[in-house]
Amino acid sequence: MNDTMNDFSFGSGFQFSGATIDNLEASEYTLVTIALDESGSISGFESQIEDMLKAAVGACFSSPYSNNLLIRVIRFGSQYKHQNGNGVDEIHGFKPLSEIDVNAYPNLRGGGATPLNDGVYSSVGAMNQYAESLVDLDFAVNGITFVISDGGENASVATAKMVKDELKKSVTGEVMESHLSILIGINIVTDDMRKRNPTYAKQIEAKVEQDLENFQRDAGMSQFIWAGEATKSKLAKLAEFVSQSISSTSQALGTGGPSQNISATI
Amino acid sequence: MSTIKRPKKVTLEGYGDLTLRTADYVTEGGEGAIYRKGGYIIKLYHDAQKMQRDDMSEKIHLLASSLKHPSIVTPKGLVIDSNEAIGYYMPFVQGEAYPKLFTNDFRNQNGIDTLGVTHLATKMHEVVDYVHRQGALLVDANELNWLADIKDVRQPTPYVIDVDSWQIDHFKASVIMPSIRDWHGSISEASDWFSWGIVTFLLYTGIHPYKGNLDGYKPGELERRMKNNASVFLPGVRLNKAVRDFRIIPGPLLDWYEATFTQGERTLPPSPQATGKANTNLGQIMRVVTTQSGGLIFERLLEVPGERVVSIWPCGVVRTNAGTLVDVATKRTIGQTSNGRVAVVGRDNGWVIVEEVSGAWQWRFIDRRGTESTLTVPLTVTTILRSGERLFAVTESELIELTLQAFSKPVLTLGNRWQILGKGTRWFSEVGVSNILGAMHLIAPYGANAVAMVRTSELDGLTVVNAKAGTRFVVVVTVSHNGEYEEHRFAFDKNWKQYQYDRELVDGSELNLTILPKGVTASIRDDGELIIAVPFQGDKKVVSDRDICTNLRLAHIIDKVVYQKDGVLWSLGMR
Repeated sequence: MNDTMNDFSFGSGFQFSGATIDNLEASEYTLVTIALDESGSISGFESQIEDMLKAAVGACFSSPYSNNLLIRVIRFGSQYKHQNGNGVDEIHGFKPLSEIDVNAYPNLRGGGATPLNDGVYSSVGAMNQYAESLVDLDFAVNGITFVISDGGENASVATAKMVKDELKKSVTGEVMESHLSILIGINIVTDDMRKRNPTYAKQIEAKVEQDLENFQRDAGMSQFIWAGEATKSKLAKLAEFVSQSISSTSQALGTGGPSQNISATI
Repeated sequence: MSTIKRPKKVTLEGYGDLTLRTADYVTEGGEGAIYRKGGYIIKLYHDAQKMQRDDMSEKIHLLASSLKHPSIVTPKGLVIDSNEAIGYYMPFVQGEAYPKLFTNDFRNQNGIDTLGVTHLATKMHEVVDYVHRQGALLVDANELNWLADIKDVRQPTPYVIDVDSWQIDHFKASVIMPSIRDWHGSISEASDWFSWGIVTFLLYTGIHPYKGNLDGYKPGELERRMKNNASVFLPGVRLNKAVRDFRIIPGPLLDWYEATFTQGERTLPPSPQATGKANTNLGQIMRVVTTQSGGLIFERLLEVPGERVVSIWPCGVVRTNAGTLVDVATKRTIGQTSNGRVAVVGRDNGWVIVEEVSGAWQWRFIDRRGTESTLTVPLTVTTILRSGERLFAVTESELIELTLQAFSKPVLTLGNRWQILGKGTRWFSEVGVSNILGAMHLIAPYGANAVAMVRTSELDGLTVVNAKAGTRFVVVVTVSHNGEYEEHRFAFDKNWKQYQYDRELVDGSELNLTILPKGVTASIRDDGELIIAVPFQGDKKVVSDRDICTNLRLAHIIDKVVYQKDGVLWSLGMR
């Protein structure tokens, strides 16, 4: 922590940090969380995912609302269970974009199991709590959460109910004006595996997609997107999708949404 | 097909042929893809047939021939492919997106101030007026359709884009952003001015005029707020502290905003350059922070564009880092000072200002109309002492009260005198600490015309590094040989004959404390806590509030606690 960030905790043992609210200089903010699965199965795809993260966050600088964004980036994997935050490691807390150096992001290192519940619970719980702090001080706030994973839950402290409750709270409109939570599935079946045993590879792909889709539906996340293979070009498109979604969300907060047809009502 | 996959040769009307390449691609939206080539932006429609059906070629030609204004990014002509219009082109302009200009951090980083905003709003006013005179309507001139060239931050230039969506002749506009829409009327010149009002209000204040928290409305109920005229001017609206003080808005424009957004009036806005006092009462607009103890009210009192408030006097005058003296009540600049020490006291008809310039003290009186008179003090003054609205000259042997007399012109006369040991006395905020052969005394003016000289043996042998006095209270900070700072507090009876004393180790020499005329003190020692006390009664109360920080510099104006933070003056009160 430094004097521009404050530490918070919630749930049992979950922690996060956020910019000191007193230092914030805009009247409304879009909170953004990007959560990355860092379980063992992403091994071999780390650098592509890192590039995707850098591209997604970096592209936000060109948004008209770049000064209205507070971005948090976390990674989750069972290797983080023994540190604060359960299976989650916070790369940085809710921070103004201008204070983020994407080139300083740490390298990802796949390892351990997938505490997907922890990742989503940390993402949404922290956002709810920080948004409450902002709203208490009369800031207007909305939010968008991206959870990028290659597999279903198998190692969390947080329960499915905890995740569901936090997601429910995030969309009541009482705290944030709106909150969009997007689960993005990526396929990490390697070309080698596909060549050696195409049937098995297909089964794996289908299972991961189905598991994640079930998770999204059961937890109450807003959307599930199957991004497909974790190739460079697909991840580049994913980065574009993430940054555009962030831009649209911040525009929705500022203006109430895009221009609308006027013929029906005027 | 708007998104090209390989180099494509097209013809720009009035320009000639050029080849678009994939590297020229910028972005795409609902209607088409955007390319940049040299000094031009080229829009290729997704559906060239629809372009034909909508007679866009005719509209582009009409816009190009009707609108010639340096701030309007008018289409210059059609883009032709195989004798078919597939889009249009326009000049490329570079500018900052307006939402950035709404935020304080971007403004601070780029030196954008209220004068610059007024210039920008004036130019936008000219643009809207010009468009109307050409028989067109902008309709959807939301904040994303304006750009600002801020190379000269004092005179930024606006550009308005998305001109092909405008309403002109028989071509009707089809879309508008909900946040700038006049929900009380149809598309017209009046609705354009309403939209102009929303965007310029955002530029001045950083908040949409129908935002801020208001009981009875959920966050995000912008449309209902707009339909109900429930604007930020309503009493009870709570704004966060990033919102800029509405008082920076030129008076006539502020009144127009209030009438438009709250009263529902639809009139032509005044030029932002128009000056005059606002009639709009802003007293109810404040930031309220609920605290465990009931509530603190923070109200932004004064922000001087491009300058920072650095000194505050109880008479209600502040000095900025540029030396400007501003009367807080009227927001009027009353004079200019250099960088030396300054004291200001108020009188019924103006202010006495004393200023140290190159080691000499200069005295003047400025009346409320702004007339300045030089004053003379026939003394060799070593320093001056201000106590409330009383002013004293200090010489080697005397403390002499100065009185302003209103003859044909103002004159400072010498009033009561008190003997002091000039060389053994150190002067602090409203108090002197005198070392008379090792015996420490406090010298503190009190009441209308008295000065207390009180022996304080508690300070004997100690090194005094700071002190402050006010009604029936003196606090002195000392430092010991081992570097320990200690605060010594003296709470006096009403005649300053007896006192109650206590002491406490503190972190440093700083005294972030103010003493109101009625004897109430407000101080901050730690983040999150405001200490309110009445020392002569022994009362003390701690108000917890997360917005209280040690970097708020406390002072008072008359009987109101104020503070300056980041160069802005705020008041602080109990709910």
